[in-house]
Amino acid sequence: MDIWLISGMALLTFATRYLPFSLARQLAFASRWQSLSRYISIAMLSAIVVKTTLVREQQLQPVLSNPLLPAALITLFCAVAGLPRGLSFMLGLLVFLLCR
Amino acid sequence: MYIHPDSRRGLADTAPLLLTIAPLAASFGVIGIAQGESPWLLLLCSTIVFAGSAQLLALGLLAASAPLWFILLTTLVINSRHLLYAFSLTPQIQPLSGRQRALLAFVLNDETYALVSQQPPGPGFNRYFLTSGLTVWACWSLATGLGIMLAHELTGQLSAELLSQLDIIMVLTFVSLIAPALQRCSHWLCATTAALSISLCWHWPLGSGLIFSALLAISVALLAERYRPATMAYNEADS
Repeated sequence: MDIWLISGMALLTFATRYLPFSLARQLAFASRWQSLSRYISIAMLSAIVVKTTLVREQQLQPVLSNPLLPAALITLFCAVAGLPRGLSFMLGLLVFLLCR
Repeated sequence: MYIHPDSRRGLADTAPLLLTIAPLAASFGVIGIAQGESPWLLLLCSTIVFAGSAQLLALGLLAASAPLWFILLTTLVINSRHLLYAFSLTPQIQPLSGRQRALLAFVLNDETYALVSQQPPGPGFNRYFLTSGLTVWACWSLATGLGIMLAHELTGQLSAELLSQLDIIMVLTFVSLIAPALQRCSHWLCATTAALSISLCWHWPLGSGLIFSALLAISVALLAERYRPATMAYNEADS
C-alpha cells in the first residue's frame, strides 16, 4: 500500500459520493425525483438486508435454521404492524438469540 | 456539554451500528499489519478513503500482487452504490452550500445512508446526517488504529464467525428502518424484486449483483407506478 494508491482510492470514493451532490440543484427540480429517491433507498437497503441475511459462509441459506432469517422476519412483521423501532429491533434480537 | 437535539438523535440512532463497524475496522488494521503494511498508511487509508469493503478488498488484491489500476477500478465498481445513495439524497441536500455538500459526501456510508434516507427533509436533516456520518467515520478510524496497535493480540480473535454474528445488528436496524417506508404496493414490489433478484445474483463479482438488483427493483417499481390501475392510484392518493 502506498500513498498513490490511497490517494487514488480516496479520490474515486469521494467522486462517487460527491458527483450527484454537486448536481443537486438541477436534479431536485425534476418532478419524479422524489418518488425515485424513495425507491432507491428501498431497493438498496432491501438488497443489502437480504444478501446479509441469506448468504452465510458463502452459501445461500434461505432456511429457518439460519437464525438471522426468523429474526429479520419478526422485526419486519413488528415494524409493519406499527410497533416502535426499538421494540421491533429488540424482539428480532430475542428471536435471534433463541434460535441460536 | 450541550448537544443539539438533532445531533443527539443522530448519535443515538448510529450508536448500535458501531458494534458492527468497529470489528470490521479493527480487522482491516489487523490484516494490514499481518501483511506487512505500514501502520501509518493503514491509518491514513481508513481516515481519508473511509470505504470499508473497498479497503478490505484492496488489501486482498495487494496480497495477490494485483496492479494499481486494477485495485482502483475495483474501488470504483464497489463504491458505485454510493452514486445511487447520493442521487437519492439530492432533494434533501439541495439547499446546502457546496462546502456543506462536500462534507456530507465525504461521510456518506452504508449505515448513515440507511438512517438518513428515512429522515424527513428539513432544518435538522443536515445536522443529523453530519453527526451520524462523523460518528461512523470516527469509529472506523479509531477502531482501525486499535486494530493496528493490538494486531498481534487480536490475530485469530476477530474470526469470520464473530463478524458474521454481529451482522444481526445491521440486519435488524435496516429492516426496522425500511418497514415503515413500505406504504404503497409499488414500495412492496420494489423491496420484493430486490430481495428475489439478490437471492439469484448474490455471487456476482465485486458486489455487482447488489447494484443490478437495486436497478431492476427500481425499474419494476417505476413501471408498476406508471401502469397501475386508476382505482389503485386514486386510493393511494386518498390515503
